[in-house]
Amino acid sequence: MAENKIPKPVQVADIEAYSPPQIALRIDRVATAKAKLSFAQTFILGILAGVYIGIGAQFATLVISDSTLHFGLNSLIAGIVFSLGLMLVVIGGAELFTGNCLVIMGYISKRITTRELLNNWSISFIGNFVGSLTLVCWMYKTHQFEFFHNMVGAKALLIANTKVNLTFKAALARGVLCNAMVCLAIWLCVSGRSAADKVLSIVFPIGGFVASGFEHCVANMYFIPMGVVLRKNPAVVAAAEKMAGKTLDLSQLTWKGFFINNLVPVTLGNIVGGVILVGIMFWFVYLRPHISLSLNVKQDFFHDK
Amino acid sequence: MAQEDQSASLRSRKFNKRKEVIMADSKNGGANNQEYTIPVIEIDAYAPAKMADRVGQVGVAKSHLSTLTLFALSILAGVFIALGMQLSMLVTHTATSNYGLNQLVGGVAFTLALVLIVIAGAELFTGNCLIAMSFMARKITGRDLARNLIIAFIGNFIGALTLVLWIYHSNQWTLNNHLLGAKIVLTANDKVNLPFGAAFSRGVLCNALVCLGIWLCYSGRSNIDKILSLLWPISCLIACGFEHCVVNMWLIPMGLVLKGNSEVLAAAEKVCGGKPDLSNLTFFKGFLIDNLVPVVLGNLFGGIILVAGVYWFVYLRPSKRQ
Repeated sequence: MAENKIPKPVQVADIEAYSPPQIALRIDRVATAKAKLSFAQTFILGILAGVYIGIGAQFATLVISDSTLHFGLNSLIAGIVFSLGLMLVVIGGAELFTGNCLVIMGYISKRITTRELLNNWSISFIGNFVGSLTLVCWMYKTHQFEFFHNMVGAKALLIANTKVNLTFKAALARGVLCNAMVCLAIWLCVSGRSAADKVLSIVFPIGGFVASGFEHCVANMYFIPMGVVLRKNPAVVAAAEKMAGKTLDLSQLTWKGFFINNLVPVTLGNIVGGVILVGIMFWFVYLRPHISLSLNVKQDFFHDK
Repeated sequence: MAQEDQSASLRSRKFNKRKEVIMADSKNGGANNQEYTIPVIEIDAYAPAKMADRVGQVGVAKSHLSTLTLFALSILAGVFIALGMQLSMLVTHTATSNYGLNQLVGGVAFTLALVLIVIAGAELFTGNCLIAMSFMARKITGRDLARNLIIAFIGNFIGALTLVLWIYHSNQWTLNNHLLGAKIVLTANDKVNLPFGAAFSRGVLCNALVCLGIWLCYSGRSNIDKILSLLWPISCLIACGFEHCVVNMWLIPMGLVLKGNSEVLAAAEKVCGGKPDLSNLTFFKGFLIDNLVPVVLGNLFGGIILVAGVYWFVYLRPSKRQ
């Protein structure tokens, strides 16, 4: 028996972060898994994602409601705390419409059908909307907007009012830049192995897009309905006028203003940013056919001599 | 029996090397095991000599990328740098806080760009100066190196200009009563009015720090290692005002575009307390000749000679290996 006891070649366990070609392959597989989810699963996970992003959004509103810090620093802090939303989505697991734009990579590789792709996007979009509105309802009932002499509500109102007064072109461009950064955050997360990797990878891109004032359609599903609800509250409107230092024109802050001035251009922009700038770009680089070379890069990168 | 002794001594050597050894003989039990494997889990950060080796190998892999792939990845790098820089401009544009702290916050925000480039993967002109190590080690030809750097440069330029277009259309520069736009115009104006020597030496220091940041990343294994290793060198170079050619490819064209906007100019006048002299803020004379040429030369010197050259000399030069 003893002569058979020869050790096999040493196996080396790989604990490195995934390299970009591997990230592309992993996302390709995740797309297949997402397409296989049932209607109920996608819908409920979509509701969760809407709630999570809303929690991040209300946290950011609260933190920046006292704007004695200067504008830039204040925005940066808002961005950093907003990352909570995407951390819950990515680590906790939920179906976020904007992040799911990366499913396009599985579609171009013909792993999933057009129907599955559109199902996933539409169900998660509706789920996100339902989740965000649920959270608006709960947050209104908490009367959190009364904190700090109604200033928290005033800030929420001002944020919402700025968002519905954007021009179509500006909302579209901000939507493109926003979802490019959200999808990049998810791309970075797929490369990490531990939760700490993922948390730290999320903070930079998500903090960046919120601080830069880019437009995220799911976040707006919380921000703007909250503004529409608070507009009915005279104490909050008075506080907002005090904060802005002028009388406010709130005529656009309605459901119609939300859908037409904001949600439509921002959603289109988000799709362009996520699908074309990130999904198709990275698919072209790493997954397009007849490009075995870049898939071998991993072996060249980390080959032990 | 001799073989058994041999394998036993092999195992004890593995233990001595403080590597985790796991016997996988659960199926047959201890006495009857036919064969076993020894998985070794190595989680130490790479030592500098090993890092030099890895950089050399990556250089070879990068020089084999097809032109289209390389070009697409360079466009992404230009976009990433521009995203980082616009964030840095935004968070620093109202300097009511302490000057140094404000610069530091801008630097930390800019780290976003390098995090995206290193982890998400993109070809940055300045970072690719490290490929020169493979060239010096004679693993790739001078033509490969020049091809990679030139395509990366052009792609970075296109990516940065694309973001100028998108950010201009997003009207983000109107934020805070056009003060953000004013900050961009004034920073761009400072950059085009640097004397040649200052622009060159800032370029040298800048790319030495960028390449050192990437060098540190080669020692790390997880994303957290890489992000934390990037944070210090990259925030240092932006906070200290060093000149990065790809950053300038976004910042100065953005300043050129906003220069024509009267509201931005009015805000800039308020910030300066007088009419700023924007006469040198032009595309050819100001941007290309007064800024980009010395900064690119400085970046090449800092990356290729100071970082790649020095580490090649220390770890990879042939005399040491023979």
